[in-house]
Amino acid sequence: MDSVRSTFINEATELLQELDVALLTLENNPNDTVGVEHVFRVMHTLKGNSKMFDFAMIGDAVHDLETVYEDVRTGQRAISKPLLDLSFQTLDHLKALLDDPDCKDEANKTRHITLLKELHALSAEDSGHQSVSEALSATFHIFFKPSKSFLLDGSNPLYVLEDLAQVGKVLMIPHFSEGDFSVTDCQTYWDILLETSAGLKEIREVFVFAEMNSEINVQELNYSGLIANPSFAKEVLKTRFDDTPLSREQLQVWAEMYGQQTLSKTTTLDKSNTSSKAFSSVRVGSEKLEELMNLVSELITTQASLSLFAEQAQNQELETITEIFEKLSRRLRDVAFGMTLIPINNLFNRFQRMVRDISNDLGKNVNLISLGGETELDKNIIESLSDPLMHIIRNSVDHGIELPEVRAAKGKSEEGRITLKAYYSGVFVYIQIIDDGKGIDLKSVRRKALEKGLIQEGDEHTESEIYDLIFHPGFSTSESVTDLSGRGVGMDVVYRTIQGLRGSISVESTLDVGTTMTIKLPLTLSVIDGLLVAIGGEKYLLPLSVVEKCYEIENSRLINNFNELIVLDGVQYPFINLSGEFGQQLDQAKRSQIILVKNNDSFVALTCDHIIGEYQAVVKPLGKYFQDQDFVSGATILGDGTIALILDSQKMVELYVERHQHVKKLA
Amino acid sequence: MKHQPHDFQKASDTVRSYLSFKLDEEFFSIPVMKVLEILEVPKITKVPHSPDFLKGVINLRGAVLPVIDTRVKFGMTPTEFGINTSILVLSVQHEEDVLTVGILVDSVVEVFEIDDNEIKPSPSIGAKYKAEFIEGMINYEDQFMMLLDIDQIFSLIEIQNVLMNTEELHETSKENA
Repeated sequence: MDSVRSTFINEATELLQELDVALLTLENNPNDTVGVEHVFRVMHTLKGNSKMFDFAMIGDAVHDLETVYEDVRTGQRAISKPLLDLSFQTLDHLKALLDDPDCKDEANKTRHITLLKELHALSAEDSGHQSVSEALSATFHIFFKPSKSFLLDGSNPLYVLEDLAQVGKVLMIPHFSEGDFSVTDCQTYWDILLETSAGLKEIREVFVFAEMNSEINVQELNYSGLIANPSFAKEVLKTRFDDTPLSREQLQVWAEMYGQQTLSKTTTLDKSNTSSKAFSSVRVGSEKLEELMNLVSELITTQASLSLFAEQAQNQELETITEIFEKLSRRLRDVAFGMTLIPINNLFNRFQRMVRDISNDLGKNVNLISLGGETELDKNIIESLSDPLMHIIRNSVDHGIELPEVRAAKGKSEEGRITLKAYYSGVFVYIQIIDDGKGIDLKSVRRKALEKGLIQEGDEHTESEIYDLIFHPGFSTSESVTDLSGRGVGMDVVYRTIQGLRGSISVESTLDVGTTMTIKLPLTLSVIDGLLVAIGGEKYLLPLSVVEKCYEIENSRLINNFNELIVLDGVQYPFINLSGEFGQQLDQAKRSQIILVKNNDSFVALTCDHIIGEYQAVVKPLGKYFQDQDFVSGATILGDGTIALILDSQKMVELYVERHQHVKKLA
Repeated sequence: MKHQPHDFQKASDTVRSYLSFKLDEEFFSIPVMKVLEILEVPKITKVPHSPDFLKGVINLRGAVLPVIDTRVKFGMTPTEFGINTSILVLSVQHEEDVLTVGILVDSVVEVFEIDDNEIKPSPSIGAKYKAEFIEGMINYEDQFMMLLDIDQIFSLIEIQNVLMNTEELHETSKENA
């Protein structure tokens, strides 16, 4: 498929998602006029795009849907359940059409025809009101004066006018500026009268590309039927080719004479708001972004060498420049890496529709709430999370939330609630799926696991160990296998996907109160701020985000420490002697520096020979040969070309505990 | 088959280039195609808690390259760094991936060409070297050397096997202690 078509498909997929969300919102607030406008606008864009890229079938279907919503927008039709159901069906059909644009599949074709018929039938009901909607159209006066340099970048005001003519009936009155005539300058400007049912927004959209360097003034005249009136046209056209634009007062006088007064239908629209929206996002290929990231990474590595050189050169001026350079590259890094992150809302929104459909099918009443949707994650991670989250939410709706009458009997509200929650903590992102359903029955999990031979009779297991069994391949507690879930595949796939992202998942559940699944993911930024430390002749980097505070103490306090606890600021902390861990003896006479790091909810102190300083590190993978050394999350190349290993403090603690328990067991 | 010594096309079908190197007093060779470059030994950064034959990582023009102590891997004493010690950067095929890895050698000897016909199947060497790692024996200018199958030796699966073996060894030694 050529790239233009694939761009369309990408955009259309996003638009359909947006439409899904917008329609769901509308379902909850049927009288929300802003919501209707939104739905309409998205449909309009989709229609335009599909016609432009020659996806005729899609264009037709959206057109018919749009026709129906046109009536809703003009207040002639209320949002009703049949209408929404039909809309959702059409959306699903459109999604199918994206894969099969020419309806080669018979099933798609039949559905296409039936849907179009239904849509026609719906819109036909209202054809009698056509005249009403005519009367609702308003007349706008648009003053459009391109800047002199308008033609220089290849723009042509005539294109704008042509587009405008598409919006409604137009009457154009050209004017010429007086003065020296130059071939390269644009000296024409227009007064345009436009009679249309479209809003101010649509009109402004026409001028999106002209807005930068032109004088554009759009105002509504509260009269209709002006353009069709020959006498009005005659009066107005008298002024053409003059260098005097139409005055508002004059127009008003003529309008009163020849037109019928209408109510102002456009509410005042914040101009700055609309134009900023038009420019708020730009589509960039992901390969370009990747290249930018690589360049920024290289820049940062080079900058590190420069800083090192500047330090050694002892040149005041050079040092100042280097410092500024460092600050700039840091900012550049933040901006560049911010671009690959997208808010998790993009993902959460997709589930609204799914939950609606499944709960309808099952006769359940479920409300999906998302919190922390602004939490940003790498786009690739978000994509990979889609399936696991879908599984979990499906499970919650299917097995977790009870039927309304069961809920009522338990004294819960009939409406079940699933909460999606995302938040940052340290170098991790947490995503929680919380339902207030029946919870997981530990006994039944245990029984099932025994049946399947996953555990042995008489084994002791903690609660969380039992919960973890549900991630075992081939495990499912649901007594009945439903269409949606319960086949025992799924949770183990979820588990593996999350592990593949270097994350982990845990379950907590209380019977009849609900279940909480927590997914923990590392933030995978490829450049991190770290604290560079020296341990036994090698350099290591600790992510600055986990570092709490630094101290200095005598080694004698560390050596012969019986319970491996140390008192800092009057609080006892467990500590890990990293020098010892990495095979170095501590010198009794010297001092060590101690870094207090966050570890889950508590703190752990790590020792090092000395702290070198803050360092901006480009994270490079250590490669598959070192995949078992997971307490090293990567490596970075320092200014002098040597390598520092990046420590994952949490994994370090886990490893330490594991190793020492092992030793104790053996002893 | 008519043999035309000057027909390069024909000759290249069976004549290939190999690089020979020494570990201790033994000669080994590997296909030159697998060697990306030869480096002097830079500073090697150790990775704590890694198996002995994984010497550490080096900075190869901005990329992080793992370095294997070939001598340890082959059951010899660890490499002692001298003026001739070099790192061969190899491209190793592992399932679908191509991995880049550096191996330490005591010295690089030369690059030579030899016809496939002259590579003899390896005689049973006994327990010292695993036969599947050796593609054959080469006798070049009266020097016998082993032609190594580096995809086998340095692939991850082999590395994993070694890891498991060493872990088991550790376990048993600890238990014995």
